[in-house]
Amino acid sequence: MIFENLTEEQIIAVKTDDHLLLTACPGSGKTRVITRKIAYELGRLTHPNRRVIALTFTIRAAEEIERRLQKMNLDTSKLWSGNIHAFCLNWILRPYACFYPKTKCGFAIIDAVKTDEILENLVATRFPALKDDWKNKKIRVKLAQNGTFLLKNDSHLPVFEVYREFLEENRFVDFEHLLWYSLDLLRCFPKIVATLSAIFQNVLIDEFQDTQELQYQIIFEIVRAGNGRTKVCFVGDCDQAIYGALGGVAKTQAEIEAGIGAKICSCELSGNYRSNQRVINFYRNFQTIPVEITAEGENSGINGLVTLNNTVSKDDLADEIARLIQLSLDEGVPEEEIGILVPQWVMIMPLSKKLKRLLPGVSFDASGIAPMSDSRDNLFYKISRLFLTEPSPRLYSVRQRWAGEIGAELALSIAEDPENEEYSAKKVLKIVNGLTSQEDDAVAHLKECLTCFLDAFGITLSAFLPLEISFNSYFLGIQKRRARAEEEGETLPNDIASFRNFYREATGVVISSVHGSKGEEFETVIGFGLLRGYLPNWDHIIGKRDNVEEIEASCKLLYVLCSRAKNNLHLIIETGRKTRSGVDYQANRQLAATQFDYDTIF
Amino acid sequence: MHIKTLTIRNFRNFQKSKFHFCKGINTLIGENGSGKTNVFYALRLLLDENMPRKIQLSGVDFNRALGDWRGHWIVISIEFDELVNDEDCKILAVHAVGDKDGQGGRYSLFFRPNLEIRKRLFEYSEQEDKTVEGLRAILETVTEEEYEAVLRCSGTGDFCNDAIYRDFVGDFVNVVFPDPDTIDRQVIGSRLPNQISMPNQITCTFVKALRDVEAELRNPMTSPLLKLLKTEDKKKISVAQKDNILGQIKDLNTTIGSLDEIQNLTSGISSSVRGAVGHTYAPNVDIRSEIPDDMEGLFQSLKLWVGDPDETGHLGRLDRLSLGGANMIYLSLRLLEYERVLSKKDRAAHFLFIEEPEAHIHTHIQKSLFKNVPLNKTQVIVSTHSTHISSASKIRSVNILSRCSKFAEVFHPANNLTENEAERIERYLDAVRSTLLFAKGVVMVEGDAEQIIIPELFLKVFGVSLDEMGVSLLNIGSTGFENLATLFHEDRIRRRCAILTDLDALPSTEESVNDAVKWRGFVNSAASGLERQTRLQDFINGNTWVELFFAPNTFEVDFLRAGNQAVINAALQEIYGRGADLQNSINKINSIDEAISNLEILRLAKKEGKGWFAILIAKFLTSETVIPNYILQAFAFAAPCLPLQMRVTIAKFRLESNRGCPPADAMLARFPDILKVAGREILEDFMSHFAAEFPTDPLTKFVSMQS
Repeated sequence: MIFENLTEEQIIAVKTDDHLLLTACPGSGKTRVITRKIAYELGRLTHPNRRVIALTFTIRAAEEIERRLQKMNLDTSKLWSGNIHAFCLNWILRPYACFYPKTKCGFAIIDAVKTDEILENLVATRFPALKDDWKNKKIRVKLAQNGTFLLKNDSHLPVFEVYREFLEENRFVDFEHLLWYSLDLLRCFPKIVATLSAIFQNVLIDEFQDTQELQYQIIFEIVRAGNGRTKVCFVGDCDQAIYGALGGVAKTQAEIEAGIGAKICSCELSGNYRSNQRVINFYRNFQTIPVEITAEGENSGINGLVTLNNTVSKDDLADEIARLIQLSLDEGVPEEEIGILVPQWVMIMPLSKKLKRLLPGVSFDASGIAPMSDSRDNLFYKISRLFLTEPSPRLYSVRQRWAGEIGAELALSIAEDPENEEYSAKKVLKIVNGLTSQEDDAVAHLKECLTCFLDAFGITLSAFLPLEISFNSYFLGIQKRRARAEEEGETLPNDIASFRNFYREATGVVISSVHGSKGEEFETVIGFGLLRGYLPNWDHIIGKRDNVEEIEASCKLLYVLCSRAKNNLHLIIETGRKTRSGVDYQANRQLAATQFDYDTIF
Repeated sequence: MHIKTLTIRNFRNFQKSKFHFCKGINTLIGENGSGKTNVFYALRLLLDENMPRKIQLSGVDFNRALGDWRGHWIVISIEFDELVNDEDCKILAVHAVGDKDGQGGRYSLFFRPNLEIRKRLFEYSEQEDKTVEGLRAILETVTEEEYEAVLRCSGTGDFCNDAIYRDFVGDFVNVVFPDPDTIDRQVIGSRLPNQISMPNQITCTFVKALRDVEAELRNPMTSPLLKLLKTEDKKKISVAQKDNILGQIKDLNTTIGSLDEIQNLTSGISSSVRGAVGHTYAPNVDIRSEIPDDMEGLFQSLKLWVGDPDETGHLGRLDRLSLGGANMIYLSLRLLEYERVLSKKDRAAHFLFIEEPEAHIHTHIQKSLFKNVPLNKTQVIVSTHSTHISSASKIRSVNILSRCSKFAEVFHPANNLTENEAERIERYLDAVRSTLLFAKGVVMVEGDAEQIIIPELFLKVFGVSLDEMGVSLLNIGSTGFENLATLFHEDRIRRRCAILTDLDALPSTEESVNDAVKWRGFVNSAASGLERQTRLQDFINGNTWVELFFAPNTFEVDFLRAGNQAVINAALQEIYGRGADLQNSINKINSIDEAISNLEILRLAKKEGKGWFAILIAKFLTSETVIPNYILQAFAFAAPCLPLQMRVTIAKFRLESNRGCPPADAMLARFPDILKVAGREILEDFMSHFAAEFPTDPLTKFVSMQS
């Protein structure tokens, strides 16, 4: 069953016993290979005490892997999957906090929203001169592998130093410090890292090209200590590294080998089971490493459309997109097989409104812009997700999983035993399903539900600081996202029905940001706003000494965008968009420079 | 991986106790009611998979010496050693409870007020106007429901240490309580990592002292026989074999069910029922043979038959066996289950706790069981109140429990001894199977004469045995007392030990001896006596648990000098019958000149052999015999304070042996009344009356020496 429907190169990847660096081109069946590899490793665990670790970039990816394994009827109790932060918390910081000076008197994890809030307040009160600087550039906390701050500008150092003091004083740990403390702990105590490596038989890192330095170092420490007992498997595609802004680096084979202190076997999944050769040939223009990609799937022989429209005005954009959608629908493409990919998420809302008007018979799925999606790690986001979805057979197991996580996390944050029956998935679901609110305003509605939820567990928010922090930062996150949309002249919906819609089972034509489309595939992809400053973002262009970064960011985004398409790819460089200073936006340079025999449609 | 220490604070009869264990076999010695079962219970709360997952403790589990338990914590903490990640089966245990470096680890249970209460206590202790009364008012509202039982790992805190208890639980006198939010987890420990439970990482087998073996064997949940059968099933019985057996049983059931007689009976019952309730309401009736036709059911129907070893060929059901015999079978089955099933599980460690095994089973445990189980991974703790257990002499692996009124004390007899010292004691104890470790007090003597006469002396004079007095008499057979007496020390066994030895002063004058060689012998003995005195005094210096008591001369001489001429005279009759020799000897013994009488008794002892002479003397001891003062003092030191009831019993004995003397008769006359009321004050009053009336009676002397 493990090797069922796998190709030769996929089987080799699954079976490799060595450390593995697996380059998975778009559409090469990466998730399937990962799932099978995990199944394979679970089947050959040398002892029930050992574990397989799957580190994914998003929680959603981890859920997808577990879902597929369960479908194979596999016992996943020896698999741990999740993102690196959950990994560090679960395996390093929580069990060993008592040995680490900064955490031995307790600690509270704070999310990105809370981090931003603290920094903003600090700047406003103590460093007013930096206020504008702070507002315009997206300044984030970034730590180097020795725990020092990585700075965009040296003048920011005092802010971060005060920030760190503030964290330590309150025993807060933000996501960056979570990684740094974990790494430091592993480095301080060889016994701990040896124990962990003895437990982990295999550590699999998905989307390694988006992994940041600290994360690499944590993995390296563990794999190195394993001395061959812990095998590592890096899976990803350097050309899809689009999270550079978040610190993601695609390490080379040599760098990884130096890190783990061992040879790593390099493999490629170059067969493409998604797109036709024409689409592939087009997006290969944006490769940074010339890997051969061959269409081998059922679409390989189809001749789809690849078009470029650089004449349509921004005012007619919606009509043009509607026309392209209709074109695909007429050819029998199902609604959910059409994806509209935009460079910035704020563009999703106005577009979807217009499209709904233009194509009243078509449904759209724009869940990526849900106002609460900034806080996916937040406990109250997870609880809200339960309130906003209906119990249904399709969601049964995933809601069960969410509820289990919520129960355990809730118990931990009020210093109760997570194994306690009182906080079981069953109890959580029972309470959630029994609660509702009459409020129409989404925020008020959720606040009421969440408060009643806590009441049902007998929890007073103010008595538990970490809980109170995440409650407040959850709602602050929603508020901020709304404010950001307003700055761009858009309004996000605020009624509970719309909130629920974001979680409906995805139906209809998908409207998503390019970043949000990772891992997805569509029969027809429509990309617009391919303008320098939108794609790539000005951050990659302004203030740079040369255009290396612009070219790289631009190529990778175009690569991701175009490789989503199975058969049809429609690219639009609309005219008439002006910058704040009133200058016309120019076409994306890499796209403009690409020579291709585009199709023409009438 | 093995348990190195068990620390118990405030739990049941333990106030603050620490047990030390070593690899392999350990013994827990203690009288009944000293809390051996509670020690096992404490260990099992943390280690046994079969205990309820939710730990249930309550207010009654607090040690009574605490008074009001509210606000206090129960702490049960196990410290592990040799906890290393060298094998897969140990890695999760190391991950869960291991130290940050080294080979140690700790795993603790806290039963404590919940976070809300702890916060309330902290907040109150931060107030300026806090008082003990205010604290009490808060504590009085605390209920059992507001207590939580939590497991923590890797903490370093020794909660038997009062300073740590004060810092982390609270100072109830000065009203200082720690902030639960910022409390140092390095001391308390961390929560166990998700999804890891310690009982799953090890095996823990508890073989209890059983009262109803039959019921235990009948219950499918607990029967060790069934568990053994099931593993046999998994291992050996093939599918074909099973199908064959089950097929035969099904056939058999059908055959029985279709017997004409059965069919007849069925229709008979049916028609009778129909006759009673009518066709409409009558249920359908059938008779079926239900011999279990699945393996599980079949196994349950298997019964153990046992026979007497002397009566070959005869076997009977277990319930025909004596209780002792059934117990032995049960214990053997549990051990076999452990050997075949549990020890084969690939776990980090195996713990086997055996409660009060029969003495002869114990030999089996050591000799055969441990040949087959991986002893390097198995740690055994055996509890006993019997001196017949051979491992009881291994003082390095012994913890002694001693019962006090509200809590128990724990002694570690080998604490701070060198390997050499401990080994020497073990060899000695092994040889004499001594009761040393069980006694409440010990008197050590140097020879057979003392060992023979002294117990008889107390029995005759006081009417009670040394056992009843709680004193063990130990014949060292030489004057090398130090080797064993070193057991009694603040660090080790905190019980009193009296050393009774001869000073060997010159018994006579050179003139009376009139023999140069003999005289030189006396002089040398006297010199070595003094030397010994210095040596022993140095040895006990600073140790309040050991005391020296010297016979000024030698035992026989001092026995005579105490005023026991009459006893010796009686004994002489036995030695010489009649004649000149007898008279000659009697004259010498009764001579006013001590130089003569001392020499004579020494001559007699030498002539008869010290031991035989002692046996002779013992025969003629009476209630009138005088216990030499130094002996009385030694026992007054070693014997724990005699209970009032016992003192009254001895007094009665003394009075009865003085019957005829008016004050004694008068006091004896009061006895029926005293026994009726038996109030403490009346008894005390009686005893002081006795003391006033008989100031020179040995009992009066003895009691006054004790106080």
